[in-house]
Amino acid sequence: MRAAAVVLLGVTMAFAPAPATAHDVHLTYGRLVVEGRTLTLRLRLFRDDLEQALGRLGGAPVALATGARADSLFTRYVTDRVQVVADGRRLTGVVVASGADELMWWYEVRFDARDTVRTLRLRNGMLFDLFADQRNIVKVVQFPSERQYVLSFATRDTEPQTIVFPVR
Amino acid sequence: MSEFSIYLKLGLEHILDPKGIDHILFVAALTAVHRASEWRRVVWLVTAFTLGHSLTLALATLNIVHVPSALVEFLIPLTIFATSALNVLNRRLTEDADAAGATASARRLWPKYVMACGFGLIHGLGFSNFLRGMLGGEESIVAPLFAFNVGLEMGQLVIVALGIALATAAVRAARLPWREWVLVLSGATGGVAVTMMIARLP
Repeated sequence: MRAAAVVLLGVTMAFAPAPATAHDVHLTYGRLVVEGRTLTLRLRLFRDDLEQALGRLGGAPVALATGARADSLFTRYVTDRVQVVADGRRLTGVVVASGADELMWWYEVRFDARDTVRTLRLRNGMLFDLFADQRNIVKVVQFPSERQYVLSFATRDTEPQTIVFPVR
Repeated sequence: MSEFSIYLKLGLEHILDPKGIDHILFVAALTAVHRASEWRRVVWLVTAFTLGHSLTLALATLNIVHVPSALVEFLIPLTIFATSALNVLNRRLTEDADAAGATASARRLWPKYVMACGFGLIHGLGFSNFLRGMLGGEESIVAPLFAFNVGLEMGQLVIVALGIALATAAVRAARLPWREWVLVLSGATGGVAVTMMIARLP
């Protein structure tokens, strides 16, 4: 029977699917700092995932690099996929910085509200079009209260989540 | 939902996801030689694996060890292959514990506990590398990694329970000697592991 096991080993070697990388956890991480009427969102994504998403958006392969073209494409993508609504008004973000960090790519996006943000509605739907098991975590930190809120978005979550900040 | 429960759920979903073949194969290979009546040993094995994970948590937090992701990705299927090979080559592991005597059998198994702990360390390195990359230098990975690991361990226990139940049913239905079942399962897990090692050569 030991021989049979060896044969089976050979068979599976020939036919088994061999994932080239360890099982991917499809995750992005964001940290949104809310201070007065300014909201600064720092997003971290896997570079290959983001290149795939931006390539699909732009209709041509994208190689991420710091520069106007990639930032412009990312701004379009964020506007499309990330909903930031402050006190009932949807905000549009502007990329203020970006860079590489090993396998990751990070973007800093600034949103300006009209007034100090009291109620925030947020939905991060990035990469939902690529991976059914995509999950996006956003940690929201509000100043000056320094309160932290951790939100998690999965593909099935179609509605934004709401945070009401304490009034001082 | 709290930060802890978010990462715990992430760990649980990650290990129970059928696409996460690495972990399922490793747990299957690790526990393959044990019958339902040996559940205490299985719990010890999974605990040893957890210990390795926890050690990784400390090492990663203190920045003592940093192993490149590519190497970790290669080492993970290597641990699956080594565990499978041990099952195939070490006939004594599958001998009836009752016949051999519990103490003697436990003595025989201790290298496997050590191995499970060491392999837990390697698997944990993969997760700590991933979380460190994802969260960046500004965030502490301690709480997320701990919660993620708790989710993984819960998932592992589910896989082990299901695996043993399925193995018991299959062996009874096919009237297979247990040793033959172990050889077939270990052959399959080892074979898949080899293909993964080849694909991930650093």
